[in-house]
Amino acid sequence: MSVAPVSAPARSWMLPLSIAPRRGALSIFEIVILAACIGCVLLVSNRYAVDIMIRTFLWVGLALAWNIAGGYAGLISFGHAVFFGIGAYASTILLLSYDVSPWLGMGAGALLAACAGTVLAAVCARLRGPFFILSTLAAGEVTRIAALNWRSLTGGSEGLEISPAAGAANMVFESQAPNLALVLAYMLALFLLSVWIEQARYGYCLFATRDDEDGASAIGIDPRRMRISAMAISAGLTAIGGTLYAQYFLYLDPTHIISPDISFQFALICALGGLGTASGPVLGALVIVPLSELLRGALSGAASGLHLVIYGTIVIAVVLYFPSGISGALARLWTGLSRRPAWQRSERL
Amino acid sequence: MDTIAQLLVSGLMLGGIYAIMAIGLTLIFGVLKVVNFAHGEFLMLAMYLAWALTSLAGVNAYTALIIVVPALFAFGILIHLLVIRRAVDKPHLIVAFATMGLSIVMQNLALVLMTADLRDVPPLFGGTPVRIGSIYLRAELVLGFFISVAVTLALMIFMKRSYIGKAIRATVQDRDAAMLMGINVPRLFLLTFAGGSALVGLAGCIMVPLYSTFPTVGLNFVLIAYVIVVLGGMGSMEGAFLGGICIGIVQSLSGYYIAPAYGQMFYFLLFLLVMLLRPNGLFGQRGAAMVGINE
Repeated sequence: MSVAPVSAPARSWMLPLSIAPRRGALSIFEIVILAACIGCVLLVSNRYAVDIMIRTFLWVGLALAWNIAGGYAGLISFGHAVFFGIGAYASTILLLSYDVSPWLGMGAGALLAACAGTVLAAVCARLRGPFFILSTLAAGEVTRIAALNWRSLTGGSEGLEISPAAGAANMVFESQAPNLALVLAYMLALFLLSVWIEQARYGYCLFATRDDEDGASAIGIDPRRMRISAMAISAGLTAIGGTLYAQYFLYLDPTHIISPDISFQFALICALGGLGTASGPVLGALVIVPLSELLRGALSGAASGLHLVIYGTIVIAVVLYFPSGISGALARLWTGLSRRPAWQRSERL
Repeated sequence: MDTIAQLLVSGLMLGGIYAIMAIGLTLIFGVLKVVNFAHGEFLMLAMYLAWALTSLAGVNAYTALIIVVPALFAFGILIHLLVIRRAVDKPHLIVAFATMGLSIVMQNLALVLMTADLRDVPPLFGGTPVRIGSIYLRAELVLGFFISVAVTLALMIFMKRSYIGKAIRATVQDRDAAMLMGINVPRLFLLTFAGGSALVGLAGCIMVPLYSTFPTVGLNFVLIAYVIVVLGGMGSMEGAFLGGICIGIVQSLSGYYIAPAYGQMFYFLLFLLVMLLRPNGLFGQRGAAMVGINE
């Protein structure tokens, strides 16, 4: 019996355009938001504001990387801090011990993380739902404890400090501007990649695997291969963000880098913004990271931890009342409540 | 020889205490098919309540049970009505995210209200250990273990004999069929969630004399509870009890022979191994891990 392949829209070198956020298209809405980000980069020079911008853009990129596995392929990982940590530690250890430039270390970290992602996805390929989530959480804990105790490699709980001479070759800069440019480039590259995946054949295969595994294999998609490749790509891209983090903050320790809190952050940003769309992680991170940084600044005098109480409450409210996240709510606002757009229906995981 | 016996017995007792917490989690999982990521924070709340009662009202942690367990039962009802009920029929990740948000809120509320200080209760019986042959055990550990075993046995009989117990087991097996047989499933959800939460209240009272209480105390124990639940098969009480004892012994042996820090890693590796080889746990439902829940 001949089987029709999954059909993707006609190829062209340009991504399709639309007004409201839509799967597989570059929307005017997203372009305006990203242009506003670039505008902020050019106009704002306040040190504190730039620091918040760097954190925010980095998290936009990281959340987009998580979204490839969690959103597009339905692999809800609560262990992405592993890949983040691999990226951060690989480049740092290569720089400190072997004097390898972080530019190369970034590639090495990404490759290593992609391998780790492949192993994790292959091991957990059979598991579904909560079982998958818990396994990734356990993998994260194993890695954290290993990193904490492997002192000769990671420096253990005292951590590693990066203090080489500033210079482009070492990816260490005197001013914040180059770091800001790097994370901005990371964010934009991941955004474009996400939109590209959404309209490419590969993306359609991922969505098919996520929404109906049996159906997907019936039309000739190998679900196992889809899952593993999505996890590997997501892990590699996350590791690049890890290197950028290490080179900006210049200090690493396992308790902060490979913590469950970091892993949860990936997932929660995407849940807030809207899972499985390119605009979701962007909106989620742009709202929640500056908000929690500002709240932390404003409330730290009153009580530490209060900003996280507010953060957690927002998470619960959004997840319960807007399951498709900020991006889904906005899209609904745009199209009107009666007409539900097709991309939103298929968003169910 | 003495060392091994000592390690085995104290591991067994520790495992019994872990089991009581894991049984709460496994019941909720088996019936509602959701993972409560705030389970550890429920434990934290119970431990703070027990600590407050012992240090403010002067009762001991075991008397505090009388207040803490109903309080956690009520808290479970509240959380079920506010959060869980709204998410239980949605895709599993909605519950995962909602309970994770709840965990962040509870942890940080505790940080705001109680600060990060460690809270301890004074040792019972003047801190004299119990001696069995050449084995020395903390009195609180032995007492905690026997309470856990008694409660687990009582629960098992309850599940076998009572109508609610039978209804719970039926719902674990097949939710739709149970509903067709006239079981009020939504009310059973409420009852199970509150019951699981009450069991955590019990675990909190048992653990307060053994461990310090602080805002993030739950995370470590909840990870252990996940391991136990998976090891025993989600939804299986007997599995959770035996799984708890396995983990207790593994922790106590590896803590002595390898290193305490690696002991933790050991049971997470055990977890991944179980997931790889027997994803349904040792006593779990067939195919549960592969089919997934609420998909």
